Amino acid sequence: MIDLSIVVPVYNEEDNVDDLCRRVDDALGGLSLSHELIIVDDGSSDGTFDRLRDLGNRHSSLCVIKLRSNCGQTPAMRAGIDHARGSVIVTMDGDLQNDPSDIPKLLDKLGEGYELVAGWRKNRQDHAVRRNFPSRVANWIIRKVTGIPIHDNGCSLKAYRAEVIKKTPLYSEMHRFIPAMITVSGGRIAEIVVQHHSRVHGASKYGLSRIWRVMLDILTVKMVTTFADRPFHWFGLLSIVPAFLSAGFLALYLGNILTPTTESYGPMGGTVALLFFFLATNGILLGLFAELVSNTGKRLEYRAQSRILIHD
Amino acid sequence: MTESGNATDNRDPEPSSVSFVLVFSEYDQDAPEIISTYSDEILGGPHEFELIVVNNGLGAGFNELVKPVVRTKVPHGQIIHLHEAADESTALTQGLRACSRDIVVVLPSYIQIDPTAIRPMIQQVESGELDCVASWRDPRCDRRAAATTSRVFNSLARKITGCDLHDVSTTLRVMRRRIVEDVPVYGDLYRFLPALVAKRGYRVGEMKVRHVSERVRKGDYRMGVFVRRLLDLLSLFFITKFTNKPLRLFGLVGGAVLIAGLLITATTTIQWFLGQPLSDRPMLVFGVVLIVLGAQLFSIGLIGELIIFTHSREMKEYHVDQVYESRTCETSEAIDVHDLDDIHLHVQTEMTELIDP
Repeated sequence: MIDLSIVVPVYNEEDNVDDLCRRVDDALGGLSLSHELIIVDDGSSDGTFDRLRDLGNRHSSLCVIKLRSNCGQTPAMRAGIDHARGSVIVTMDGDLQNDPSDIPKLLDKLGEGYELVAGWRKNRQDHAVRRNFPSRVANWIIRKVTGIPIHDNGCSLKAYRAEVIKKTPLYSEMHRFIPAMITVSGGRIAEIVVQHHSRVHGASKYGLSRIWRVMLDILTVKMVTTFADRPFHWFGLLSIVPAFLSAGFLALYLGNILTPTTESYGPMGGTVALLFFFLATNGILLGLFAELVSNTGKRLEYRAQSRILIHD
Repeated sequence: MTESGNATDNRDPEPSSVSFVLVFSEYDQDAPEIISTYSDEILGGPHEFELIVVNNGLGAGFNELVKPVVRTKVPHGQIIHLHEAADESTALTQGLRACSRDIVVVLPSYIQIDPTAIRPMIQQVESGELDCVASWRDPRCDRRAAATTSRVFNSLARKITGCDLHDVSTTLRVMRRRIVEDVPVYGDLYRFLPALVAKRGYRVGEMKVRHVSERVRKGDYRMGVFVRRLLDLLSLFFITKFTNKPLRLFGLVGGAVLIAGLLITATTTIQWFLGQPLSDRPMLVFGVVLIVLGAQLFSIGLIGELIIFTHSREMKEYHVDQVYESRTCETSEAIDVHDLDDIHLHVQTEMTELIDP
């Protein structure tokens, strides 16, 4: 076990990796911590890996994990985290927009008793319309939906306790939702403002197309963080409203055909009653099914904890 | 700085040792002849090899039929006798699991392809040039209708997988054993193995081979086969694109259907308020059906996400190729571990016979 692992996923960043290593060294030079720098090459097609191999010969604590294909940022991060041996893990971007000199600040904050300290790029140096604005909206929605007061979920610069992050579900593109996932297990979260630089080398790998994907992901996160433990409960609650509506419209329909009047809204009432009936049944059946799924899988069995020993 | 676990750099001057897998799903009197043709061809080359014959529910009589030729012709032989007939890919999986050599070759169960093509294919993998080589039957010798459906099917598969292979359903394939361990395959997905392997970053290629004969299996009615193949393609599409994010697909489709339904219902409702009676309008029913369908699709997507979430810690979404460590000088084997044993529990392997002369 060592003190600190820094995990950096990179993809086609050949011009940045040299600087990255140097800056991490500079940032940690003043601290007396044993550390390792884990760079995960996410199937880069340029010379990133050759650069990293050269760096390895000069650098004393570098570990390079080369993935066979481009697996995506979250899986790459997962690869680094699975491999990390530090008791504290710091993740950051490989494009030098995060500043490694913020790491000591993150560590100090973590030492105050948090499971996760997130960076907040308060003064963000990206394109205002294409990057910053959508990001603000997304973060606002994430705050509202998950109830976690983090301003910048997308910032990769974060510090975690290893035992927590290693047990946190992290897949698909869930790196944006680590804070939400961690709170489920009772982790305490803090946020500090970090520096942000504009990109010098290379190109951004994000586009606007991710907006709707992020929206669906938010929905997923909300569901798994609230429903996963007892899905039937929630699906059942959701089905109550359509069930009542169905009963109401059915009564309307029956009343209409039993007492013939000039105005006929019977067929409409019947159709709408059917609609809500289907929605209610659908909800209940899916809830049962979800219960089955939850029961066969492994639950989020980890809960953040501190042990207080009374006798020593 | 140490380099570790890169199978593709092992350029042995010694010829590699090869496992051959041969699945028999139909009782074939010519089986000994077929085995002897293959082994003569391989014995002519430099490779040391083992042969694994899978008896796919053909009874003990088939073992007796095959045993003499395996004993005399093959240096290391094994018959895996499945108690009950399983489908082709399940039987093949059993055979692949028994392989112990570095390179694995899957052979067709009759002389479908000119056997002289096998050795060049092995050499391509051996030299480190490729990790997996599929055969490409060209020109084909079967009926024109079969060749045409096959062409349509192949071009669809190319579109879906983005993998430029011309003959998807060919049997003869040569690959590193590591691939068999690394890429989880079940059901009929075996058919698409090269494409799935390529998706994981392995180098996959193909080699033109001479097509000698094509045997149409009993019960292989053309239409039925074509429909089944299309379903295979559909599942391949889902698996390659959306396995880890079901809501991306179901949410999009379901959302669109739901919105369409809501719009239709809203329009009819407004028209109703404007005085148009609803009783003779099927449009309302249509809108309602769309709403229900959309809600259902969407919630199935949610259930899918729940499944992924509950299994997220067992999934390996990354595939490590190499690990370089400057500090420790440790070498670590970079192989993702998949539990192969949890699939196809219904297959009872009655016995594995080791036939060594």
